[in-house]
Amino acid sequence: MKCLVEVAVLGLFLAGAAGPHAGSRAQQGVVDLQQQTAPESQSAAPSMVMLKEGTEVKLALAQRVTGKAAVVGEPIELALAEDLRVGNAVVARKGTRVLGTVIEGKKSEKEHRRPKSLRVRVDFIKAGEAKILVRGEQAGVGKRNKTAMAAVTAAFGLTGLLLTMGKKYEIPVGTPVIAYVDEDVSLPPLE
Amino acid sequence: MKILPLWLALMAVICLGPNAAGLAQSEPAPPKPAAVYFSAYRTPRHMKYSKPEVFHQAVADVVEYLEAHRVRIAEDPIRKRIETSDLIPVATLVNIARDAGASSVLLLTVDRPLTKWVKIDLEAYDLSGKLLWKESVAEGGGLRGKGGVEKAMGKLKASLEPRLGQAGLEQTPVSEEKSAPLPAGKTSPGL
Repeated sequence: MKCLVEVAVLGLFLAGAAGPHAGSRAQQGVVDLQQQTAPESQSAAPSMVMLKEGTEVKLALAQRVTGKAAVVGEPIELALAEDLRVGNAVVARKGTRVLGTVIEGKKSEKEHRRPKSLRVRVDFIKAGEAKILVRGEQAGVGKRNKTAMAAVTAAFGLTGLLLTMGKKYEIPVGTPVIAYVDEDVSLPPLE
Repeated sequence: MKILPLWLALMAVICLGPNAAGLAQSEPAPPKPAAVYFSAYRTPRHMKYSKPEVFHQAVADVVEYLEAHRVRIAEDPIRKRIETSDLIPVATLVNIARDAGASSVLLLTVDRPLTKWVKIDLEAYDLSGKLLWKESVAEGGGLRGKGGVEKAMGKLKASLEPRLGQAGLEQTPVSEEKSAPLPAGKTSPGL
């Protein structure tokens, strides 16, 4: 008899307390799920666009890079020179950050000698939360200071010429860089 | 009958536990406190006449001072802190700061002028690129430059005291600091 009473009380408790809560939670869960999946399904199916591998991307240096200062491995800031589009849809706006890396330059920060070449590689575009991998490179142009060479050579002869004939490598701010999308990537278009 | 209280307690835990958790989840996230984007620049003269260690020590001292005074430093999502010898335009820094969720830019410049051992400038810009304020200190006493950075940093810290809490040096309230520790800035020697 006692067992029957226990079971009855437990049954009533479960029906009264857990039932409505469980039901409301289940409903709430469904609503939450709908809320979570609805925008995804809306954005996933029709509005995502595919940026194809090999698409040309026009970039520009957002900082000056010099052979005197650039160290191999140092990150370099670039920016999109124009909107990146897939058809009519814009997936990244002009000015969006692009990150590159110095691949030829000084080997270490302490090195005083100027490098014999300067080159940067483009790594990726940061479009919102997504990273668009790109490939492309830009080399620095070496220039000799001819005025200084002539003056120092006149004053010190051959020694002066040898001291001043080295090239100064530089990639100025705004230098255009052409890069290419490295792999297919699905992106939401911007409004 | 002895097991009935245990069942009741178990059911109460099952029913109330998730609800309590649900209440905690439904609380809106507190707004993030204002943060600054910190970057450092080493001038060509400092590169030529001083050591990189001096530059990195000055950077580390300023960062330590900011963190000790609850100035939140925004972390760049895609690269380490900028410590460069190639000048990055303020417009680019503002773009990076916006991307990192900062409300202002702090630019530290470490120089080695002709008549001083070290010169340290700290400039604050808002996100429109407008200069908010600038503090400049230099140390040139003595025949040797030993201790020059420490003395210059002492002067800089003294000049920054009245600016704490103002635009460019917004402080995190003490209560928020206890609940959410400040993000530790990453150092990147040579970058």
